[in-house]
Amino acid sequence: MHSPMEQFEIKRLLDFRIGPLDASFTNSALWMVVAVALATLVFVFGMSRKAMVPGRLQATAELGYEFIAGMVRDNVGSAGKKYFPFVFTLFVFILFCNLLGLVPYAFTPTSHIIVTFAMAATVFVGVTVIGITRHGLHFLSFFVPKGVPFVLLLLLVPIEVISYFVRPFSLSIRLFANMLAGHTMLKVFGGFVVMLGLYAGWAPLAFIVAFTGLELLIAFLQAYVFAILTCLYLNDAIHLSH
Amino acid sequence: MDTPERDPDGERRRLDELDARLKKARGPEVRPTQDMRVSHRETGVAYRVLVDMIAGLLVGGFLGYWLDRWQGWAPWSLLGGLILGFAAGANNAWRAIRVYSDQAAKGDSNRLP
Repeated sequence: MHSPMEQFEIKRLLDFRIGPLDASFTNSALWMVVAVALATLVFVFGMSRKAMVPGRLQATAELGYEFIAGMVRDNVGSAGKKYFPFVFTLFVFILFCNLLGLVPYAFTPTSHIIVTFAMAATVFVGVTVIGITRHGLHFLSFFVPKGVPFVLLLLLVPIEVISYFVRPFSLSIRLFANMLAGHTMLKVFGGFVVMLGLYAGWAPLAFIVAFTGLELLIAFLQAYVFAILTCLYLNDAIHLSH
Repeated sequence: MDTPERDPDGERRRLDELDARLKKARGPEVRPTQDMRVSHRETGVAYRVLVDMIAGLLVGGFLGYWLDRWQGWAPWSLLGGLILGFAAGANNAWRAIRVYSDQAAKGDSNRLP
């Protein structure tokens, strides 16, 4: 019987090195490429007919576009319009990685914290750079709560600064932990089905069916949460508001 | 002493009458307006807050641990880091909840983080 954690193992598919750097093409990279290719196919083919009355694929593409466009408009305002492509790309990439991970034998890149942390760190650095270029040194006032006596500031400013630096960690841990836990659960109950066999294996099998539905919801929800938190952080940086 | 006459039909009629009066007194039936999607989203908010607090503790604890190793202040900076990290996590969680409750107060519960 396989261990439930075996599904998260990274396997080198093509060995490739740049100097001392191991840049091999792994199963994780392969499934990221699949996610990007599939997302591109859905959106390019979906919008190729540009029908007035959309077909199924076009309706899906339009739904995704309008969902994120509305999210950016509501949470960042009109200043956020130029960051829409970034938020949309993030959302679609995470959503496809999460959903493809539910296909049997597939690998879930978002179940590795290094992948989610790379995305969260990109958001964090990008948002900070946007804040500093927009407001200059005034950006630092973000860390100073208003209307607080000076003595308390000595305590509150470090807390605010640490709160700010916690963001990329909570953002990446949330996505990775959800994916890791869900897939481990599925595998553990899959093991129960095999162990209990033909007579009692039906109970865990029924659980797996229900749990796969929940995992579909979580796959969507986590992509949504990542995108909307990116929007909220962008809003903080652009409007310097808590 | 004779026992009072039991009259099952009359009893049932009286119970039905009482039922009707109770219904009238309670007013029209109110159905829950929240659907499943909203409660899923509330679960999402709860998880978000949980992760915020844990991440705060982790980052604060790591910073303190690193300072301890670097400056040899053990265990004071680990202690201070944990306290600051907890405060930072609670701060982030509080902010997340405030956004949630502001939007819920506006009745805009369909667009929640």
